[in-house]
Amino acid sequence: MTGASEYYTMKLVNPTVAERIQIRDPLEPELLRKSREGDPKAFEELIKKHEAKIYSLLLSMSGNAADAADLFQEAFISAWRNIRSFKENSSFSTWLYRIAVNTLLMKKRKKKVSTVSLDVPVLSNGEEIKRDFAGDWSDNPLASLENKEVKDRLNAAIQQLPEKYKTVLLLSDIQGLPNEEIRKVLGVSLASVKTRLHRARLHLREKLSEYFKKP
Amino acid sequence: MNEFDRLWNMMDDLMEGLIDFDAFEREFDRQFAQMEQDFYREFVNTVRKTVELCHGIECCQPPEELHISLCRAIECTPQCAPTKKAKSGRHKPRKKP
Repeated sequence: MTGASEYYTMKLVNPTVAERIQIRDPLEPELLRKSREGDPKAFEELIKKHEAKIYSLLLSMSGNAADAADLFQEAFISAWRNIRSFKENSSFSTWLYRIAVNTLLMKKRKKKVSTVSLDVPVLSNGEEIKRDFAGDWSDNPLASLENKEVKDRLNAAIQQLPEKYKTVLLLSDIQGLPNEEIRKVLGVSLASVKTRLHRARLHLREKLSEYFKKP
Repeated sequence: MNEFDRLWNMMDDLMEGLIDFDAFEREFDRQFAQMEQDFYREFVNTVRKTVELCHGIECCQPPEELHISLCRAIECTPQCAPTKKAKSGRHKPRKKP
């Protein structure tokens, strides 16, 4: 298979992940070095590079803009305070994600926010998938984010996910992180990442299938 | 490994871009020829579409004033000293001669 067709295949299978794979910025090591020496301007450049994905993650995880803003500030200030301890065992981006997720989880633990249970229609023995009779809606022209109702349902379904499923789904399918990076961010096994991702996807699929179910 | 596990492993490979959709379909037909294909095909297609829809959700920029206030906060926040690696307290095992 040639490089071009490999790329095409990847686009076909996964249209935006290929675009979201980030090539490490050549300026980043220098900005990291300067930040470690206490240069706030260099750190501000790092903030600019990563703020959109961190803010989006926190906004989706917390579900409201005010909490997301607090967490966003807290996460980046914590990164700044501890940047001299960053050993580059992982990418800076992974390290930032880890700080952001930990900041959020700590806050939630303090608040003791309860989450909605995940009622995925797959039997626990893994033998059977529940039928939902919605048919194959994948080719339905309404199955698009242009359709506000679908977009709202998708966002609502994501919000409904319990914390651990939501985090993995957001990092994987929204932010485009590979499973191996997610494993590092969350400090869980690869198998656990995959299981959570599958369950989260099944939940979303079920919610969207409800929309496409024939009356 | 049951059929469900095999199906999930294939889904894994598909979602991670290790196999393309044609290869997935060929393997699917080979492995699940005896199963209720239509139902499973619908299932696979709709999961795939769900993931594609998620990929379409865009990241959003933080508000400008949030960025500015963060940069101000950074400027007046001191950095911590680097953390030292904690000693494990275990002795290094001696090499056998």
